[in-house]
Formats: sequence, structure tokens, C-alpha cells
Amino acid sequence: MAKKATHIAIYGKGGIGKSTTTSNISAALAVMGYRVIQVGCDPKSDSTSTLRNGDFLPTVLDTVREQSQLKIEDISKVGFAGVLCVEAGGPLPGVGCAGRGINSAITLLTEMKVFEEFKADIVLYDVLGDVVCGGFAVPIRNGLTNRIYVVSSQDFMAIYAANNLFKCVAKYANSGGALLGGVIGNNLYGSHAEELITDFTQKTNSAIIDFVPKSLVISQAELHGKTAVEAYPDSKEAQKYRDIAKKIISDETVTTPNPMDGLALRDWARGWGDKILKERTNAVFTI
Amino acid sequence: MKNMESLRTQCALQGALSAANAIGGVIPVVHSTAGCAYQNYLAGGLANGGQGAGLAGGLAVPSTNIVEKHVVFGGSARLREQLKNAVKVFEGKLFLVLSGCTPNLVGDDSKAMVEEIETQGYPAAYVQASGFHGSAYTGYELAVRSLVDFASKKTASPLTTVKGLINIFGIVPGQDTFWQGELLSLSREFSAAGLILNPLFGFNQTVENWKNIPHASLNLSLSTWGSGIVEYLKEKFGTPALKRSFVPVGAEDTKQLLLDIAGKLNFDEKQINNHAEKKEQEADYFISQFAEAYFNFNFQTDFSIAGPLSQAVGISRFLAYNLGFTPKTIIITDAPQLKDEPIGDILPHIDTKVNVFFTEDGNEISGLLKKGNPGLILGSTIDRITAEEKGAAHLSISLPVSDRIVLNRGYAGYSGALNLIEDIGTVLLKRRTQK
Repeated sequence: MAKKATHIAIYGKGGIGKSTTTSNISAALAVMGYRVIQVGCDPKSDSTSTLRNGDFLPTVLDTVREQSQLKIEDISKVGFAGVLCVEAGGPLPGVGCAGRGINSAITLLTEMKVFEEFKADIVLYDVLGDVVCGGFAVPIRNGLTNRIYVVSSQDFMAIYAANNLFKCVAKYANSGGALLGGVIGNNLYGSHAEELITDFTQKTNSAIIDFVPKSLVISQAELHGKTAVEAYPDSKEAQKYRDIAKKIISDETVTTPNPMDGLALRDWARGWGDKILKERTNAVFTI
Repeated sequence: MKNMESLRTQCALQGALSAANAIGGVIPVVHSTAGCAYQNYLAGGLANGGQGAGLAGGLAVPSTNIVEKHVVFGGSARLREQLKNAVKVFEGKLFLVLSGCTPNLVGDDSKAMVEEIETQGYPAAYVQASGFHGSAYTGYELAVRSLVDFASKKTASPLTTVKGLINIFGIVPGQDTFWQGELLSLSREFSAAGLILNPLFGFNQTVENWKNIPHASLNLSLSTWGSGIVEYLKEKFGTPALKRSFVPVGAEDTKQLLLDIAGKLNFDEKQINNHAEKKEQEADYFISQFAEAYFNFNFQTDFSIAGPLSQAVGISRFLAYNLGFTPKTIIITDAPQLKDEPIGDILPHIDTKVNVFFTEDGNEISGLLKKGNPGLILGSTIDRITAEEKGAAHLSISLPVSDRIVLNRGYAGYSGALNLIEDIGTVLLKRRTQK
């Protein structure tokens, strides 16, 4: 019997570093010897570019539009350390339904038995931005993924998006939907970042996986079309991603998040705003 | 929202499609999934007194039949292709694109495709008729507005008003089974009274008739579903509007409608009264012929009715006031939004208590019809089962109507009332012989 891969979905606000995080985790897992598939679930189709030196990769949806009989090699490319890269793709901006596109692409991958044939240990879905409608919630629903992780910085809008994702997870929690593995703090700066995210997770019954500070090493690697794990394997950033990867593959602990309602979230954020302002003002007076 | 079963009203796309099919020269092009146009063939046609065929109706409706890739990537190009095909196959005076649920959800630019085919010299317009947007009545309203906008651009100027020309709205093709008969009957009555009715839908009606809309001196609405349209036309062309909530059946209500119109148009009432007198004499003659049978067969009965407001009220009034039948329950199936409006004046001067309900739910309707054991049930073919259970006579008058063929039969006006007597008399007699 074919082994069953672990399916992980990674969500978070647009531009927060989901693709960077996911690709580095994929790279780290592959280096550790796991067979990894990364599926980019975004019409921009640039999730896996740092795993394959930015080479051209036709998307699943573009390919299926052109040809009826698909083979795995038509829609995938083996990237760094053997990670199988797939981009779901989607319509042009302002046309069609991207949500349905993700749904349709994942169904197709399942029907093609891509995960079994590649003998994957782990499949990572890098899902775009906010969950704005039912289509984007597909990887959460119907038991498709084992657990989900949310990437967030300390910015309020990123926290707000994370809280929304928690609402989606909580909604499907009792009907076979994936539960929450935890929050990966990313692109963090300033003295309160970790404390603020930790407080958010405590308020919402979620866990912290790790914190990744804002880093020139990661940016530099990305500008060269690579993950930090590949470009700077000895860096502390690469080590951080290896730690996260290890945690994700080995720790199956999940929670049903308890998101805050709109007013509670606003009050919580104001509390933090006031606290940070007060400390900075005191610091100025101290000088 | 409450779950409902056995609904009697089709979706907005079906209303728009039936409206398009009822105008000569209009070729509907459905932009939706495959089942949508087919649904109209079934519900708006076969289950609607056996109507619904036609040049580009029934199974011949051009449709994009979109599939998954059109959902994901947008289906505008598929619509472009279908329009190109449709203009090759049909010689249309108007290609009316009706976009259904899915293309509207994913935001297909149907308007751009319509403009494109227009620049190639083909007359075209479009209606955003998402099924979820509302019922067939809403679809009718949407289609009418689009047709008005299209046709009025081609109206000969100056926009002179033709005295006595009246556009009629609110009788909905494909949803009101007797729409064609009602329009023909009212056209005859209006014409004999010196007025000119512009029925817009049905026999001999083409896009040309729609171009005359701005010339009318009055826009008449005979149901809730024409109210918005006549208001729209008032705003657009300044034409006065007259709104009535039901289709008149029989002498009194028909005469009253004609007099109301005359009042609105400063029209000579004498002509109306002369016409009414003649028609009343004619009706009296036939009704007196029927008097013996009425008493001999003991026709007088109590009745319950389920149907759209315009029809249920018009018929109930005639049965109660002219035939002496006793109304028990009136179930309005098309206008739940009127639930809280006072409708006590629908049947004034009736001694017995009439229960009025607003519901579309088949189960609820069945329960309500059973109460009080009426001798006659007027409703859809679905209600025949209820009538049989209770031993009541039954006549299908509202959708779905799948146990009779209805071509140009109607119950409106003077002659329509005689049709109603014949039809009700027949089912009452049939029940009597079966017992």
C-alpha cells in the first residue's frame, strides 16, 4: 500500500512571506531526506520560484486548458534537493474565479495521483492571501490537509488576517476540516514583535511554532532566486528554517483556534498600541 | 430562511428567457451552464400548459453551456463564440444575451461581448439574469427594462404621444400560464372600447411593437411585477402610470379598469360605457343559458385558490361576486413581500371570513388547501393530489400546469369570464359524475 503523505497548508496575509517561508521549509525538509511536494495555490504562480532558480513552470490550470491528457512532468518541475514544484495557477486578474481554480487544480492533482506516484512524505500548499471566499478555504475543508499553519508579522493587518483564518478553521473544525498547527512569526522587527504575537496566540488558543526575524540574508538569497537554506546553508536563518521544518514534520499537535470577534480584536490591538507608544515616549523622556 | 419544497416559481433566468421567447424576432442567447436553458423547456414550457417552443425556444435556445474551465478562466470568450454562431443560424431582430448564475458570479463581461457583436452590425442587448437574483417575475422585469432600453433607442422621433395607446405590463409569459390568452382578451376589450393596447408579448408582437413604447399615453400594470416597470417608464419618458394589483375577470372589474383608464386619459367615458353595456348583455345571455345547469347540478360551491396574486384575486372576485361561490382560503404564491401589506379590500362585502396566506412552500400550501374541505380547489397541477384526497374538484390555473394544454385561453375580461365558467363547470361536473 502506498504511504500516505502529510498535507500541510500555509496561509497568511498577502506579502507577509508565505512563499519564502514555505519554500525554505520545503528546502529544509528535502535536505533532511524527505520527499517533498510544494503546491503554489496562487494565480500569480510564483510560490516555488526560489526552489527552481526562477525557471519557467507551466501552471496546472494553463496546461489543462491547452491539453486534455496531463502527465506529472507537464505540470511540475523538480527543484532544489528534489522538491517537486507545482503551481496551480489561475485566471488573469479580474477574470474568472481563482477560488474555483484552486479547487479544480487540487482535484486534478488528486485524480492524477501525483502525491502517490511521487511517493511524497509531505505536501505543502502555499495558499494566497486572505480567505476571501469558499474557494480559498478548500485546502482547509474536507480533510484535504492534515493541519494548517499561519504566517504572520506583528503588523495589525497581518494579525487581522490570521484571526480571519482562525475563523475559517474554527468553522470547519467539526466537519472534518484541518485544524491549526500554529503561527509562524515572520519578518519580525522591533522589541515587542515576539511578545505581541505570543499574546495573540494565547488569546486565541493557538501555538507559536517559531519566530523568524527580518533578515537581509533571506532577502539576499531571494534576490538570487534561491532559498536561504540553499544559498546560505550555514546561516542562522537556514538553521531557523530547519528547526521549523523539524517541528512541522514531527509535531502533530493541533488546536481549534478561538478567534476574537471584531471589537475584541480592535480593543486588543489598541491596548498594544498604547503600550508600545507609552514605552517609547518614556524612552524619549529618559534620554 | 425557511426551507421550502415544490416551489411554483421559476428563477430569474427562466423569467427573462420566457419573456425573450414571447417576442417575435428576439433570439435569446443563454450564457450559463447546460441545464439552465433546458429548465425553461421543462418548467416554462411542458409544465406550463404545453407552451414554450418557438423559433429559438424550447430545445432550440442557443446556449454557451459553460463548463469548469469557463468558471476558472472566465467564459466571455465562449459567449463571443456562441454569439458568432447564433447570428449565423438565426435571422434575429435582437440577440438578447441572458447571463445566468455562474457567469455573473465570476464576473464575465457579457456587456463587452454584446457591444462587440453590435459593432459587427447585429442588434444585441443583454440581461444580467442570475437565477439567484430572484424569481421568474424578477427576471421578467429585468428583461423588460433591457428590451425597453434597446428598443427605445430605435424609436422614431419626435416622441409624439398617441392618444389611447396603452402599454401593458405585469402579465408574465412562461410563469402566468394564461398570459397569451389574457393579453389577447384584453386587447380585444380595449380595442372595442376605443383604446389601443400594446401587448408587447405573444402573437404578432415583435421588436417593432417595443419601439412604440415611448409613444403610449399610458402604461398599465396589472400585477406587482409591472409596478417597477411603469415607474421606470414614467421616469424615462414621462408617461403616466396606472397600477392595479390583479387581472380583471368578468364584467364589473373589466369595466372598472376601463373607466379608471378613461379617467386617467381624459377619455370619453361614454364609449367605455357603451362597450361595457354590449359586453354585459353578451355575458348575461350566456350566463342565463347556463342558469339551468347551474341550479340543476348544484354548482354553487366553496373554493380555495393558490396562485400568483394578480390571478388569484381576479378569479376569486369573479367567483365570489358573480357566481356566488364562497371563498375559503386564498394562497398567494408569488409575492411574499406583500405579506405585511393590508389586502383586506381584495374581497370586500364578503360575509364569510376569507383566510389569506402568502407562501410558496408546497407542503404548507397543501395543508392550507385541505383545511375547510372546499368543494373546488384552483391551483397548480401539484394541488390535484390534495384535491383528490379531499374529494374536491380541481382546476389547474397556476404553474406548474401539466394536466391541460393552454394556448390562447385566458380568464381576463368579459370573454375570459365565460372561459372560466366553462372550465370550472366542467371540473365540477366531472367530480359529480365520478362520485
